[in-house]
Amino acid sequence: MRIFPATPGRLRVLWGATLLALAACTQAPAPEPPSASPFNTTDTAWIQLMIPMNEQLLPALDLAPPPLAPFAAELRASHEQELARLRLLRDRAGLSDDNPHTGHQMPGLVSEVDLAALRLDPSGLPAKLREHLEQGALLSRGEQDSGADQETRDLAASIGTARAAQVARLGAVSP
Amino acid sequence: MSRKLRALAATAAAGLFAAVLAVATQPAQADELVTHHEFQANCSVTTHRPDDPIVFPGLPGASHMHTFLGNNSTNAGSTDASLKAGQTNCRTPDDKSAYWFPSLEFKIAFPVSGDMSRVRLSSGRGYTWHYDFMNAWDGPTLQALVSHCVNGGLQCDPRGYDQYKPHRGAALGPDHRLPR
Repeated sequence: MRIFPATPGRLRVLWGATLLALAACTQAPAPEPPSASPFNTTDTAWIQLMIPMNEQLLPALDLAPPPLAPFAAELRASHEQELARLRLLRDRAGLSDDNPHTGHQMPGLVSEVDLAALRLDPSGLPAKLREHLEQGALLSRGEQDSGADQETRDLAASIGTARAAQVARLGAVSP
Repeated sequence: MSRKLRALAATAAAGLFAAVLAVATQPAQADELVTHHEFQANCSVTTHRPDDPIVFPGLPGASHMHTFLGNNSTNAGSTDASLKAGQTNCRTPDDKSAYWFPSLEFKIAFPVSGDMSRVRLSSGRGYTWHYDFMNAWDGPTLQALVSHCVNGGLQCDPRGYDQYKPHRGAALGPDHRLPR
């Protein structure tokens, strides 16, 4: 591999690079729903991101030390309830249950690497929880601003409210 | 629209890849030997944002950090129409496309050889590195470059000129636009 320092003001884009790029691309674009669907691309991208966001938080909650355990139990309950509603939306939108974010390292998404690090050192859990809750609030604002399906927007509003309260709770139990 | 163009780019690039392989096995000799089918889009960095208008349309902050080039209006809510209404820093002024890739501490020049699997990027392991593109080229300008450089078997600069085959001329004028 050849790595060169930055060339100021110029980036040489060879179309040959585009081939490698497209062939290696693991982030499938958000599927375009059929035109009759009430879901737009923001709705489907949000549903397909929020499901792994919530699912992948659950194993991290098991690592909560005793002072955080009651809050972790609250988060588990709320996240599982949201997951049930998210999966119903996914079905209604006609989306598959494939996770388009497998292996991705993204803000607020607890990856396998994150989980391994937390198992070694659970003291990092509050910071990870905060990142997850704040990212969930941000994503839900985006869905409320740009989504189309009313039920999806309603769930985003509900999750946004829940995340704000959870961030405040986290601040109280883990200052 | 952008999806269609991505497929098109992949098709065009597939032909190019074969040509690049041919370079490796045949030493260039005659001037007319066709070794490349390409042209450059030469654009500068505009901004860094945690956005991806293809994967997370309408969801600002949903992505890992990306470096954006070309069109200076690109964000999570970009559409074909918004890009056409924006400005570009690409050398070819009628290319208002958005280009982006996962942000790095350094830049990678292609072609790349070697094992990318141990490289860590904001998108995960190195082999997931990808370049994204939302097309907002002026149609006739893009057609002229594809026809002259890709179909014509040239290695073109952003003006559609191959410095090794000067007699073939350029697809665009001195101002990097179609002669009008």
